[in-house]
Amino acid sequence: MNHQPFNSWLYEDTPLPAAQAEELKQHLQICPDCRQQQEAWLNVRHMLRIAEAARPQPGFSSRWQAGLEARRLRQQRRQVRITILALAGAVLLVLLGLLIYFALTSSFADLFASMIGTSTQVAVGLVQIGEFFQSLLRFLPPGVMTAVWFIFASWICILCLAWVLSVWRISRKGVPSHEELH
Amino acid sequence: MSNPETEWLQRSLQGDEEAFASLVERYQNPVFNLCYRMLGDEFEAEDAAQETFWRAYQHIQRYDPQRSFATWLLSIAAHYCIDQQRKRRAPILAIDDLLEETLPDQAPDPERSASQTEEQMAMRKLLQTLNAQDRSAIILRYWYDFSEDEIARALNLSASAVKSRLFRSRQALARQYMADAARAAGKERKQDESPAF
Repeated sequence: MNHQPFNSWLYEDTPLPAAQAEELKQHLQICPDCRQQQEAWLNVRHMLRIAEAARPQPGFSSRWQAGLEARRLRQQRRQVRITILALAGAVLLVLLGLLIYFALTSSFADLFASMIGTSTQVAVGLVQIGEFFQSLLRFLPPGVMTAVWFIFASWICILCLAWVLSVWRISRKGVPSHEELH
Repeated sequence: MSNPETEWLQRSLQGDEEAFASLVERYQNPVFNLCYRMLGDEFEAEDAAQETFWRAYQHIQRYDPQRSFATWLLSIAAHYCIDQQRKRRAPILAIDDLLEETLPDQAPDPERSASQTEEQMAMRKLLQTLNAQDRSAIILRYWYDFSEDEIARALNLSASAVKSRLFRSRQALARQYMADAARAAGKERKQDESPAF
């Protein structure tokens, strides 16, 4: 027996036109196979329609809110890791590029000589900067120098005090746990 | 869309966490149900539903207020569950878990409760025979009354693809149902024929 197009019409989700519906009805009366399929599909559809919706355990939104901070922290850490890796990769690429460039444009002896020359120039430059500041200090009035030293000493004292306070606080209260942070 | 929901959405778009928590409260059941029907496990469904809301929260700026928020949310959940199923690849049918499954405490009548559990089990077994995308299409169609166009939008498929997937799934479900029924009838027959001692 030819089951088409009746077999396809059985699974149509939209109502069939009257003529097709009548044809299907007549076919179903003489075809037990299609009738069985129709009954099966109607049963499945009924099961789908009446099935109860599953519900989460109580407190779902509270769990979501609690997990939000942890997820944020994880995301921040991931971003920091990605940034550091990207920067390190970029620096490595630049160094590699420079290395290749120098290797292609000059010999090893030239590179060594220019490295020594550059290092000497940097050292001489640093010494000259030091000498410049020393001569500048000699021309400043003595009151300015005292004020600078006073500000510098005050900042050192404040930093020391903050460090001592932090040590005292940690020794009294301990380091907050991972759960407390969340 | 109701007024408080519009307000929550607007506030969420401005980064208000409390407002989004209200949306979580409102949509937790449909999202969880979809994940549960897709994955077939309560704990995995909880994780998937939590992940869905996290993704929605992260990408709330991508939400188009012209569209239904529920559709957008369920689309995220469906995609996530399909990905999970693809990663897992193996079918999930833990019969022991199915037997231990408890339904919401609505009916104290143990007979009714048992029959509901059986129906749920049968339903889950049937759904697990479909592939993840077909399953999500069937769930969205029959649990959430999505139209074929809405399913197409939610699953990033063409309307004709959805139509043929739904058709194929209906056929597969009916055939599986007939096979299960025949197997159950065979078992019953064997039990009736076995000696009484």
